[in-house]
Amino acid sequence: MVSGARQSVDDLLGGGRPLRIADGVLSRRIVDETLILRLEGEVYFSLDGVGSQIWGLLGQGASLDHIVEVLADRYEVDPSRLEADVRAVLANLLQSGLIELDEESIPPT
Amino acid sequence: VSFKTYDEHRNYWVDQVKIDRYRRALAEVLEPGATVLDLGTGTGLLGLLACEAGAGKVYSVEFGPIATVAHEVFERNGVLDRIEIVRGMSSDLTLPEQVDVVVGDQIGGFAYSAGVFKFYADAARRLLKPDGVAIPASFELAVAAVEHPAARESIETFATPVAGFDLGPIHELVKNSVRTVSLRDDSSLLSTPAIVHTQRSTDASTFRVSSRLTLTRDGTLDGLVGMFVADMSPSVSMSNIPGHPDMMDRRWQDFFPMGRSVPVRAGDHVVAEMAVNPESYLTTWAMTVEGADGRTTREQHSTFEGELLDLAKLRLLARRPVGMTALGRAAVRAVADSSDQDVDVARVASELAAAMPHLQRSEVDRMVRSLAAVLASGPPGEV
Repeated sequence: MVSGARQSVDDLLGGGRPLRIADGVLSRRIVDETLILRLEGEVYFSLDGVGSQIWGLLGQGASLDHIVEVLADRYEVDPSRLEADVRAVLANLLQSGLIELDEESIPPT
Repeated sequence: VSFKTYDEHRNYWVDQVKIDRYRRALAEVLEPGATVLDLGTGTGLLGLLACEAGAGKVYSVEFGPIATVAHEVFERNGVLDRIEIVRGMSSDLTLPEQVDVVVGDQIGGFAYSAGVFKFYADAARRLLKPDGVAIPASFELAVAAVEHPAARESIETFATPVAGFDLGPIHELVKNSVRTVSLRDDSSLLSTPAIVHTQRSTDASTFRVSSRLTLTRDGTLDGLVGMFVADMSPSVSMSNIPGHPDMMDRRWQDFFPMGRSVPVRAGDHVVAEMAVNPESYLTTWAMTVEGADGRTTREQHSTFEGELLDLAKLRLLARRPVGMTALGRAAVRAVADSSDQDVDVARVASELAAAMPHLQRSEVDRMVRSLAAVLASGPPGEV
């Protein structure tokens, strides 16, 4: 089951597919971090500075590729390392149900 | 402090409509000798009414020291032999038997905001017989567009500089906060109240509502007012909607601000959308004003953005998508080690207490309860 979930997360993040913040997920920027809460939940999730920038881009419907591109412009880091880090954050957000694939934004093939 | 407390309890006794509706509902529902759970007895009002209606045994639960007063009131009125006063929160309570009827008055302006769904759902799971009855049995929730200059002023105070200082951060908080208003008649309403949702009182699940309101007069839209009709028993109702035939004497409602008040005209439409978690009281609301000229204005708010958050404490509870805090790991490990359904709360508490020696035990307990509530609805996605 774990490997199956991993597979689907990789699928979801592939090919520049647009993501969006899931319905019923609330977020709030406070001091230097972003707090995230599901309407149904009582557990707060927290993102620090760079994580907050990723969250901001997700609010605009960004894909993994787009987020990596934007952050690569802002920070001098090894692109493959950056992509691995962003991918890990997004995979975690997906698995926590905080973001989802934005099916409506996918152009028909 | 005492006088304020007595005034609060006085308010429960002076509402003759409310007393009448509880009295009639209990008379309609109670079989002779029935067992009753009186949630939040205060000075004893509902316990007395239950005995009057023929209850054989009443468990009167009260968290505060007012329980001592209830004891004396019950004794003075000759019903103490049928009452067992239980000190504490109903959520921590166990009883020697399941009861026939649960009755309480934790009803907020928009019903859920004083905890009724959350307390009743818990009572129904553990303390009420499977075929037991709750009073009120269900709630119809209503919303209306409202013009309320005093509520507007309490928000707009912070919209522009005060004494030359920018108080924007306070403005953000207040426009995302729910406040109580007291509408004595329907003169403040800009639309007819619309029933948007019905929910059983023992159901604390999250609900979403949407309604397109037609404005009935020109004015300034300051927000939405949330109200209810409580279906007490098959033939008894009680409401806080201005002008409703079963309107209580206690006339207050919940006000959800627009945030930026706008002028509106009769015939304009306001699409009101809300989502409510009755367990946490977390509420989001949005208003879209559709003017006759085709222009729309949309405002969206949530109590999450209006909460005064203690960041230091939240950090202890927050789950970081990458790299969980040591504390979170300790807590989640303790939970993960326990069996699927039964979270070992005592163990989590001791792990947390060890990890946070600076915290009061009561704070640790509160966090554990919150964590346990989440885990009870399913294990976390990633541990």
